[in-house]
Amino acid sequence: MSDLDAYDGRWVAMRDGVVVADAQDEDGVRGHEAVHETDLVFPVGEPPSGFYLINV
Amino acid sequence: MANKKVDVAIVGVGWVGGILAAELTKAGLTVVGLERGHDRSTEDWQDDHDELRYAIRMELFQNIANETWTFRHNLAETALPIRQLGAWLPGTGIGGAGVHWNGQTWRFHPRDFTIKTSTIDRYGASAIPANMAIQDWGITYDQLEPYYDKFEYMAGIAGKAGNLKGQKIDGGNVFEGARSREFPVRPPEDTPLMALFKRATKNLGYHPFTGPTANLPVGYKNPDGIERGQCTYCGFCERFGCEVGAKADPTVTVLPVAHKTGRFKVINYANAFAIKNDGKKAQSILYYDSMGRVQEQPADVIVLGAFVFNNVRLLLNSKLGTPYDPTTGNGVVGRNYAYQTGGGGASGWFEHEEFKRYMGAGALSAAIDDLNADNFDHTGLGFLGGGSVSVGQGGARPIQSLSVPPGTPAFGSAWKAAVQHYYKRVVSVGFQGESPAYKQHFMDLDPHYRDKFGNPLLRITFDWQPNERAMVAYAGKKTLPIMQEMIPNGQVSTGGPLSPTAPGIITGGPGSLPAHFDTTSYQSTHNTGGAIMGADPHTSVVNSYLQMWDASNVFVVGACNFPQNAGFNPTGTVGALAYRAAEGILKYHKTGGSLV
Repeated sequence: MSDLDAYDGRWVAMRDGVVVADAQDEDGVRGHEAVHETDLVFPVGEPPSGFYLINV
Repeated sequence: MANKKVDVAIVGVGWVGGILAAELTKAGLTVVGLERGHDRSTEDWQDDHDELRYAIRMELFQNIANETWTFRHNLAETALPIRQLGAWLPGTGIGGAGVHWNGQTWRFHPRDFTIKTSTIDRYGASAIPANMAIQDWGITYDQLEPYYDKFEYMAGIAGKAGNLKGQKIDGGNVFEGARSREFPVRPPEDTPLMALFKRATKNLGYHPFTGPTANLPVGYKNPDGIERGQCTYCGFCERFGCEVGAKADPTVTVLPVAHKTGRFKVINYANAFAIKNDGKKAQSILYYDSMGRVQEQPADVIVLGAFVFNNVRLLLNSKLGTPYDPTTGNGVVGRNYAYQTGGGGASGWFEHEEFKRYMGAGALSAAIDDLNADNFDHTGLGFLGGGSVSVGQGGARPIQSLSVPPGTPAFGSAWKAAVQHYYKRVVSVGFQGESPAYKQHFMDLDPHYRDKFGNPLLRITFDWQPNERAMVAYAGKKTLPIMQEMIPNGQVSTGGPLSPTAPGIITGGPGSLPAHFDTTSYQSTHNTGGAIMGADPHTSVVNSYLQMWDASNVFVVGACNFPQNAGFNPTGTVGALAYRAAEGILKYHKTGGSLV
């Protein structure tokens, strides 16, 4: 599977565990010519929300 | 010389050990519990709201100077020891993690127990990613329901049924499996925050309800005759013992029942390190006593009732069962390690509303279940699974609850002013997601690192996978509108300053996970798997009574039995499995042999 270290803070499209495109935002990656509709698209990096829900 | 032989010896005296001790001694069996920590009771927590001692310095948790874990993200990495508590916080001492838990007490969905079959039925086999190793539990929800019921009535769980014998009831969780009867205790009153969340989610078409809680809103007497008083809403649950016994924990529920029989003995400071066995049956538990000397506790039945990691490590160190090999897929002990997937939440800092966040109880919450499990159609989404969405009012402790909006200076007078202004005004809508099993996620013995006694540490191999990344991205798109509904016209943060006319500032949007799983920051103690249950000895360690396939007088019980983790807190299901195991052990004690 692709190592996602290089994509921190970016959106990626992944197919069969391999990154096929990346961009600054979701629209950018979904609009990329290499991306299929069935590819998984997600951001990489720390969650944008303020803090974790604590569950012990 | 070995200790006197007993009917049942249990490793770990937390929820599992406590429930088994109570049930088995009531039935006339003699039981010894081996606990690596010391004795504890409600009196220990009087007036002890010391956040530094318990929450920061983590007094109630496993001392990893003595025993820790090694961790790696994949087979190609060399695992390194975790030298500071971070992502998870296993307990130690009488009552185990049951002393410092929050009290969120869920039942898993019927679909969770048949996840592989249900997924294939609805979406086809091709919907399951090639390396995903989800599997059915070998028990159905309906079969486990009576044991959920037993746990809830013993612990006094407060809530409102959303599915009573198949009848859906508005105001409860309409997505839950059918309950045979109502909760034993009515739900707590809504706080203004819970009411706001319920209004917002209802406006968006969801089905809100009060989260089921082990924090008693009223006094309760359980079927064993144990009486407990109501919660004072002090807000010191998670990482703390309860000073009034209103939070159900083993020390105020099942352990007094076991002790009253006169047939239960606890040995404290007992570090179990091996189960003596001949490959087919176990004879005794070997442990180090408080002086570091090797001792032996013989028993007819051996129960491993410790935390996930300890149960699995004990099996591996004892050469009980076949270790899992990720390269061949053969073997069972250590397979299907899973966790809990966070991220995907949203936060809001209100300008004009306060929520008295300093008051609360660990499991005081409002939730929706519409985005959990397979409660929504995943067709075309590209991922499987979901999670529970909730707001909690668990209490805002003074050190760790100083959240300020993005763009606030990190120190100085502006930071202090923001802390003061927002302390009672910040709210988080959290997402707690599923964690499917994968072929490459497992536990084994580390070949290099050892504990203070010289025994191999447990090695964990785990990382975030694309399915969960897509799930969390989706969840964040759903929690943001909830927060926007809670703060109408709230300003979604872009990192810039807050508009002077905005009623609040919001962060959220597509959720994300780091490039790799990070062991250093706290996320969840909901580790699962490694001694999973099932219907096939080739793919599971224990049968539906939590009896080992390979050694009929050994029972392994806890979240280690989960073949994968659901989008809920695990304790309700752990409690149900413990009651199921108690029934199995009593059967085994009479008849012997395999129970299925």
